[in-house]
Amino acid sequence: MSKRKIVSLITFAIFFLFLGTLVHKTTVAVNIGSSTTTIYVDPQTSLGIIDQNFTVNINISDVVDLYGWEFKLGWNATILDVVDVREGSFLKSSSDTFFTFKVNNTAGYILADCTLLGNTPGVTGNGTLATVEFHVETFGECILDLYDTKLVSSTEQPITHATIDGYYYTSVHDVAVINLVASESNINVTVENQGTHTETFNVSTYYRLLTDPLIGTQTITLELGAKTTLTFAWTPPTSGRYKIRAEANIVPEETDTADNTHTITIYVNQQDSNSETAENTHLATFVYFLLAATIIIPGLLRKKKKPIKTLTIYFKHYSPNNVRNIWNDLLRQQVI
Amino acid sequence: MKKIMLLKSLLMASMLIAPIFAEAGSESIYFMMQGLVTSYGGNTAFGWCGTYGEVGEWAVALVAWAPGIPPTPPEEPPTNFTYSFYAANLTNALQVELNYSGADLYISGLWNVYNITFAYEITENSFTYNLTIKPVVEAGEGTLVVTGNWAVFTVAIIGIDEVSGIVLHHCVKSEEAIPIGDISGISGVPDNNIDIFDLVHTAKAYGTTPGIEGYEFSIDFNFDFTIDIYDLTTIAVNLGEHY
Repeated sequence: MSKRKIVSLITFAIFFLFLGTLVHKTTVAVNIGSSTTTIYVDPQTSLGIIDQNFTVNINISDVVDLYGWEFKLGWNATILDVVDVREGSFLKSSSDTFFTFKVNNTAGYILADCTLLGNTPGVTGNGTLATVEFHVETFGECILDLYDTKLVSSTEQPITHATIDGYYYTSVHDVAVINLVASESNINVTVENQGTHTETFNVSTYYRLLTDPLIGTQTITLELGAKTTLTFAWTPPTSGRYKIRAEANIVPEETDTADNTHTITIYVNQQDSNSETAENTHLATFVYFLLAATIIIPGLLRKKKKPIKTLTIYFKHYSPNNVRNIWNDLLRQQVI
Repeated sequence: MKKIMLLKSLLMASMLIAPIFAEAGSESIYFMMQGLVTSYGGNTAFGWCGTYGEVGEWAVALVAWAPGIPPTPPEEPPTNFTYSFYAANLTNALQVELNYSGADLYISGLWNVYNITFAYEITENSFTYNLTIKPVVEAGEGTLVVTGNWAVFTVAIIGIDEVSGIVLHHCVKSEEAIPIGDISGISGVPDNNIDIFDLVHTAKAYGTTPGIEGYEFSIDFNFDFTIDIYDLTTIAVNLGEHY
């Protein structure tokens, strides 16, 4: 084997050896399944009803050797009040604890602390640090802000951790008819879910002539914030002016009901598919009067004939025995 | 006659001016100091000194010390032992001043001094003790003086040798009282915050008494020689405070 080949082989061998070392190091350096200690509000999103209470837990995950904890939780004081703070089971399930909290409902925050007692090891794992009970004062939404959090180990060292806030909003049931368009054959009703729940409800349409006959009813399900347009086919019984009404039935706990009904007025003309027949009516009326005028007005303008009067005039006619001349004269007088 | 008129004028002027100065000087000033005892009667000693109060109004001062060096950790298993120390507390502050007579802090008043002995009997998982309290000085006049720009302190009470040491932590502020309970922090020293680190530091010594590992005079806020719920509550009341 030539020297050149031997050098090439050695070079390749060194290269692959180096590559293998890199791969090995890379494989060793990968840290699979690492986790971060986290304090978080649970549930992350809370839904409440005015004048009722709800609770959230302040939980912890993936902590090692926790001896004491402290946190502040803030909220919109206009919307919510805290009525109670209770110690969770995470530390006290291990040993005796000292738990304390302060509530400031004016500023909208609480400060809570808890520590194990005595020369005892800290607690490892996941669990609930505290439970906070809120009272809903008014409608609204806000962040449940977890801040100034501190975790201390049994060696009095701080424990690095992350925090996750919560969110609150007030439960609302509200559906609305937001648009209504009707023709001689179809009625389009647009409904919208303006609340915070998925709703299933009926939408009905009516027309008013002498009574309010029901045109039709459809049942729909809308996700919160969604809207859709429903089409109702109908046949007006006769031409004329109709008041069309669309109603979305009141869903349970709905208070805003003014927008559940929508009413419009349409005009139906059978010869003209266009619901706006007022123009045609005016044209017909104009032609009628024009014809009438051409007949009546000239008659009014013609001169009146004088009445025929009978006048007998006797006159002398000197033609001897000319009866015919006498008779002609009489006729002439009558004509004049 | 002219001199009398002049004196009267000066007197009236001072009566008008004095209230102004009195108004300006009426601001409340609060102080706090924590220190370690290093000497008793000129000999090595160990212990703790703590004081807080309002200048010109009132003060609380507690000093506890024992001759020699701090005891070594007990044997395993620990055997019966006794633990003796001196404790002095200011019962009536007569003068409380800042920057007075060359001192950063000057407190004079009446002191009680006791010689306290805990005789421990160690059981398998616990201990019991017999407590003996002997009065050494009752209502004795004495002073606590801090000097050297808040570097060292000296306690001189008639009837006992002088106690001295170094200042660990101090604070002077106006308008608001300094909250009690700041004895630790992230770095293990007072950090001007009352928080979970102070609570944990005290809680770890829960149930201990002088001589038992974990007990510290600095966390015995009511000076009853037991770390208990009262000491935790003292911190709890001030949690969240910053000074």
